[in-house]
Amino acid sequence: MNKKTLYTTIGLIAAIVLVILIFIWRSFHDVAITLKKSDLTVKIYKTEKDRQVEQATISQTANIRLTNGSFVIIPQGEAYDSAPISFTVNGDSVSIEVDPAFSKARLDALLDEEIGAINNVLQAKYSAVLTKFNQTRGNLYREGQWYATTLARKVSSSEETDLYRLIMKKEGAEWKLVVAPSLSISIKDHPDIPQHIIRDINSVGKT
Amino acid sequence: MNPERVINKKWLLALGTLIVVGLIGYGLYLSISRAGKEAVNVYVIPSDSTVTVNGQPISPGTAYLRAGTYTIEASRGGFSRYKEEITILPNNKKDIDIALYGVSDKAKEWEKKNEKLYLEREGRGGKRATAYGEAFQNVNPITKDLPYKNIIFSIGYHLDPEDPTNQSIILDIDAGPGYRNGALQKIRDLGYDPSDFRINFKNFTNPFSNE
Repeated sequence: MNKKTLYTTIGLIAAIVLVILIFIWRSFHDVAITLKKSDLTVKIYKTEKDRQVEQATISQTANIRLTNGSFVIIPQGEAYDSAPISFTVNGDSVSIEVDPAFSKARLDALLDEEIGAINNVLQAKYSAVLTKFNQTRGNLYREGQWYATTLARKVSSSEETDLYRLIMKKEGAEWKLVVAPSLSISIKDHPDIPQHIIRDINSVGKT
Repeated sequence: MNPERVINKKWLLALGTLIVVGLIGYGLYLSISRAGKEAVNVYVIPSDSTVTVNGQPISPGTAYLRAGTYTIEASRGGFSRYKEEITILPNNKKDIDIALYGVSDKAKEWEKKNEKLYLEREGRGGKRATAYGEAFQNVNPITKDLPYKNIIFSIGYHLDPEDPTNQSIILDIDAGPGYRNGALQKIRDLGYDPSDFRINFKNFTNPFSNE
């Protein structure tokens, strides 16, 4: 093989390798993942057929590169809700905000601390009426700043009773009633309340 | 070349240019004057009645009005007078369709002779009602399943007065104490989430509302 042929062959191979590298580079796309909680760690999985393949673990806001496909982000640890967050990469860059609520266990523990203050507010407002009702413990939502519960009129075991639903919000150090006890709460009337809270408290009592 | 022919050609060219420029100018004028306005079909029987919008006369055909509320009046000697307030919304689908009815003997005679025009108007109204009904059900699919009634409760609906487009509804539940939850469950059984609706509970006083 003479020099000319050698150089041509090397050049051709280099060009092919370059094209392949460019093709591989372009098949990856920027994914900006913003973690809204400073102590949050998440794992990112790619969904492939019937399994999930781990792609990355991140503990702070980061930019990563992923190929086209369907992915899920799963918050780690016991402090946050581990419900997966889905996203898709399809030929373009993507931005994802990860802002999970506190986990159920964490919210339940918080409720132990807050239930006294919550009940004081309800008693102060409805002292005359509340004696006729049974109040369920209720739930905290998100980072513990939302509370919802139901009230059922005290009736004999053979009677049916109506369920009243209420929502409160902690502003600063004080709990405030944002939705007074109602038979059903409408999302249209309360655009400032996260919809999932309204749907959840409305679903209490469903069969 | 014959000088007369040259002059004729020049005149023809000038005239043609003038006509084209005039048409373009008119088209531009129409575009500018109609910008931001909604097309509203105007029908009136008899067709030579005087029709005004906020006191300004308009002709039957297509009027161009900005979104807003207008007072429509129509009159013709010997016929009843017409007055109505209408609201024109963006992407308007509303017509102004007026029929005046004979008061004087002559007008009544005219009305009898032109019964076909009044029947055509009813046909237009029927078509509008059908189109409106289909659009309404698409926006409010639950209305296909209502009203619902059993021995314990009933579920109906009425238009939400706060919605000027008349597309939103408020559900009406009529149930005795202890059975209102059953009505809410029925809404779920029909495939809907009560959270998505404003609900009016009839014959119900909230014990917490006066606190």
